[in-house]
Amino acid sequence: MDKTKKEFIFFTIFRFFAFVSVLIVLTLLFYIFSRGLKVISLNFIIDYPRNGFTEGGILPSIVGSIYLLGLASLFAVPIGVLGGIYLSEYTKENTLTNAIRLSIDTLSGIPSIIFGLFGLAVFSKMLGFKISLLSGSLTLSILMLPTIFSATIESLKLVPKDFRDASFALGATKWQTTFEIVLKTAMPNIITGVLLSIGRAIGETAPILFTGATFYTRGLPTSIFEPVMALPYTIYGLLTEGTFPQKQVPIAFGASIVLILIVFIITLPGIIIRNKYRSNKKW
Amino acid sequence: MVKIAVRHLNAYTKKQKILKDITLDIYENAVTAIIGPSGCGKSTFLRSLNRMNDFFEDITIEGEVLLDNKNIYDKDMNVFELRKNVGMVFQRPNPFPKSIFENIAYGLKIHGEKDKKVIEEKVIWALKEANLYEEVKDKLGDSAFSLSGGQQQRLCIARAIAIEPKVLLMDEPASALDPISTIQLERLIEKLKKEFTIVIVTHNIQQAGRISDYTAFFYMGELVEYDKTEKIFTTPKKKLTEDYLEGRFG
Repeated sequence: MDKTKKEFIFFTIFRFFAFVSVLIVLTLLFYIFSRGLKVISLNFIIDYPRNGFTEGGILPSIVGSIYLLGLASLFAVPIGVLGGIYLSEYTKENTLTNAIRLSIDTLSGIPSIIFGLFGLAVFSKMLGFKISLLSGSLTLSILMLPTIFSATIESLKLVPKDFRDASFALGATKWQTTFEIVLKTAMPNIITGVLLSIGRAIGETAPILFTGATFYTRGLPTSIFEPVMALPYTIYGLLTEGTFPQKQVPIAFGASIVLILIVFIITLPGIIIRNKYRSNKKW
Repeated sequence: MVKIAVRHLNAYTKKQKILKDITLDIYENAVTAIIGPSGCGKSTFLRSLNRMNDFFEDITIEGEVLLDNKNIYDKDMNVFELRKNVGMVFQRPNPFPKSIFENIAYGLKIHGEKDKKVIEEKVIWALKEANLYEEVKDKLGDSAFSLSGGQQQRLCIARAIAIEPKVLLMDEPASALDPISTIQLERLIEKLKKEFTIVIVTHNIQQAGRISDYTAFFYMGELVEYDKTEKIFTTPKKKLTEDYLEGRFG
């Protein structure tokens, strides 16, 4: 077979599969939007659910999700980023650090329901936080931790040794080099990793199922020891436990649209930052 | 005047000796070239002068390197202060991913300079000193990566001299540059030796001949011959030196 023909065949195959993957995403989006768009309005976002969740909006679920993720990030981001910096910059490769890395990789592969069970056992029962915003966000933070940790380590590894050499040769200390050069260079990638992990966590149902989420609350949470409503759990509840599906299923799809948009809003800055840095940094 | 006195310097790993009993004097305000084939220990020698070998845990250094009569391997030596006094320029231009201005200001800042006016003055002084100012004066805020390879290397020199070191080490600084950038760099080195003591490792024998006052020829970790450049190039004492200079091996 001559080369041009071969090339044509392979390109066609590649094009086909690329097209298929885009098509699947578009179908999914079309399906959700076509069913949920009719309930979307300003009221849907700023109103409380009414009449047994057959009317009104999903404000408490949106706020609950944001609270959960905000609090979870507050726990997970400092631990993940600082731990990653320590492991990457301040330890040598040995059996212990390799074991730590391996356990982190393993953690990120564990199904989220296991984190849910862990959260139930440790935060809700053992520490007595019950089903609350606190238990839920602690559980989510444990889910986010490995992703943030690995993203930090990988981003730091990408910083060329040349930069560190140049800094040391100027008489900089390890601390100055790490913070002024290495961390600043790696920051866009770290931020992207953090945002992606938040984007992933906000859609999780299993970790908050037994630890933080509830189907219905009156008003917004006033303390971290109260259970909260959350978007994925609301969707799950409306679809499985609803008593009036004709009205509740469209609300579930409407909530899905809101969730997708929130994930998009969270991940967008990460993508923008990454592209901006990619375009003006060549090394 | 002797600026750096190297006395019985040995460097080795568990597997091999890299430097064998090197003793030589490096003179102030002169350019000393280190030449020799790949793997002869040139770079290790250079990095032992500002203790950049400290980062290679498997390398052990023995002997003395006296900078202004003070052994830089003494326990009480402040290695950060040492590297401030002994600057370094690397083989590949390695500016930081910062602006042109910030690249140079960084060294001043880490050594405690806070006065913005002083920083600005010194940045401009260093750029002028490195023959780069005219080319970049209108775009000091631009990324250092927007510069050409030759300009980046001169920026790295400006960065190194901004903190006013006494000695400037250069590890094959022109090997990644085009011929015109190389000529500019050589002119710059000749100018800089009035203020700094320069030690340059080079693969390029002609370059050593053009720019250096003293030449040290290393072979297999040993210092074969060290003398004034004109003597080394016209009447080398050792057969090995002569063979290398005439390109019979390398």
